[in-house]
Amino acid sequence: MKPIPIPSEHTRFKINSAHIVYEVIDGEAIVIHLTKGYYYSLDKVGTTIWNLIARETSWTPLLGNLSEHFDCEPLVVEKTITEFVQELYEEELILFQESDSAIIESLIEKPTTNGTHGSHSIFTKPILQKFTDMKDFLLVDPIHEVDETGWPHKKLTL
Amino acid sequence: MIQCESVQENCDKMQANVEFSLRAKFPERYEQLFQAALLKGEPAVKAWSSYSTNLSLPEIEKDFESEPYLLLPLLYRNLEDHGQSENFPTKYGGVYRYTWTKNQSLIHDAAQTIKLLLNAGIETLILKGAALAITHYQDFGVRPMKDVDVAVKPEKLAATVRVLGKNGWTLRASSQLNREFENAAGNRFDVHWFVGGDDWKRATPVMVQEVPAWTLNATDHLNLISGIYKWSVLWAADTFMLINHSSYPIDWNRLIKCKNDATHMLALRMALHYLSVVLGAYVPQNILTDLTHEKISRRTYLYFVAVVCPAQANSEHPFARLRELWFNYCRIVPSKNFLLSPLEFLLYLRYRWKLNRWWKFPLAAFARLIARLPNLSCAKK
Repeated sequence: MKPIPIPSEHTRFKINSAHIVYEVIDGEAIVIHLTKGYYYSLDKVGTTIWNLIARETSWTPLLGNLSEHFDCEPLVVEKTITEFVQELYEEELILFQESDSAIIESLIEKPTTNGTHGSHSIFTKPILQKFTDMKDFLLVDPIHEVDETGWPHKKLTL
Repeated sequence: MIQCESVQENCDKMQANVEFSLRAKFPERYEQLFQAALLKGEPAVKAWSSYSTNLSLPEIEKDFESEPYLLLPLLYRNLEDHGQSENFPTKYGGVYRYTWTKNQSLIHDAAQTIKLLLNAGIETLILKGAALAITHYQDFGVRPMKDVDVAVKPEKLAATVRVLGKNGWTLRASSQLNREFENAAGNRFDVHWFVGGDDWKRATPVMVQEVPAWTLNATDHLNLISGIYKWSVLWAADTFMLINHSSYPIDWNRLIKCKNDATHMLALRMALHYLSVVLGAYVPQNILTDLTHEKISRRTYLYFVAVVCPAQANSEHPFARLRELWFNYCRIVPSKNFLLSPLEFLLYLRYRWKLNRWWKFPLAAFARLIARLPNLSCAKK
């Protein structure tokens, strides 16, 4: 099992586009690992992070942006986001690349998140939902077998 | 003379009926759904507003759980783009997610397969929904697909079947027109070989997830899908996208020349008339006029009423399906006489019902009749 890297100020993230496709629908990122046949869904906080990663943001600006956006202790944000990006890495959804520090400093423009500049949202632990059997998953009727939130959320049967 | 006039009057009446027959198949509120899904700007917003305010939620749900279901992803995306999705029932937005996910899986497997075929020296022409999702819709979430249709050259068919068989594809169904394959993921790959040499010469290059392939040009694609007799909302949407959103204009004269069968011509005319009236499709007026002047035979009219507009043809009748098969047979077998050999029709039925023994015939016919009787009793209620 390959070791999970710890992001540092030299780390830049990249979507593993050779194997995955994704789309953000209604503020929720849907990611499919085409080779493994796995379906992932990210909640709003996870999608915010995902959007920053999609812009190949480096670690320091990413943390800085999230700390400003969310009303939470920066250390808590850093610890939680570290675990989250490591989870994305383990699932082979993103890649870690070690960049030159000069390149990082040249990224003067801070990437913006979906929220209004200056506003603070409540920070919750980002959630990555994983569904491993896409074939069965796609057998769920998207009208009759789902709850009011729609596919892929199955209707609870008693 | 009197007899000729009465026949002519009959044909004129049929002509008038045919122009409106697609409006009988698609209720008026479907027209608003087409407009809300396919148009841009104020017309789309107005159509959705009209549709959603004039119908109750149960009525909308009834529509969304029948044929217009196929338009849901396109409708959802268009309303999202116009900032109108807050009135769109949340549950049905999931259909876009479903369609996107399903199509990504389909296209991925298809791309890998097209690459294998290319490595084996077999060029592939991608057709219908998958092709239009790439070239016209440009969004894998809006165009539902059950499979990916491709064409190969006839001399490459055997090699194609071998390559697919060695790479995880199992033959699921075959006919004189196609071979349908399925893989372990449940994705389907439908291989055709009916595309003529001239269509290949006019084909345009396309990338399927970075794998090079070909697709029909817009005129040839329109020729292909406008010949589909069982009109559905999806075929209407595809036809509209080809007419209004192609990079190059449609070669209308060539398209009409391709239609050397009266029923094909009628299908095209109905499609173009309906789309130009309901959606403002860019069909030149002289083309519509030329098509309208084509006289319709009684046989053609009856076929269309039976197949394209079953609502008019009383589709709940237990023998409605048999009538449809009869007209299909009439269309396929050229004959100067409308009264065709009953034995030949029975042979055709045996082929369609996949019966390998004649003694199974009465049982198969009886089983089909029994299966239709509940539909008849429900319809009466």
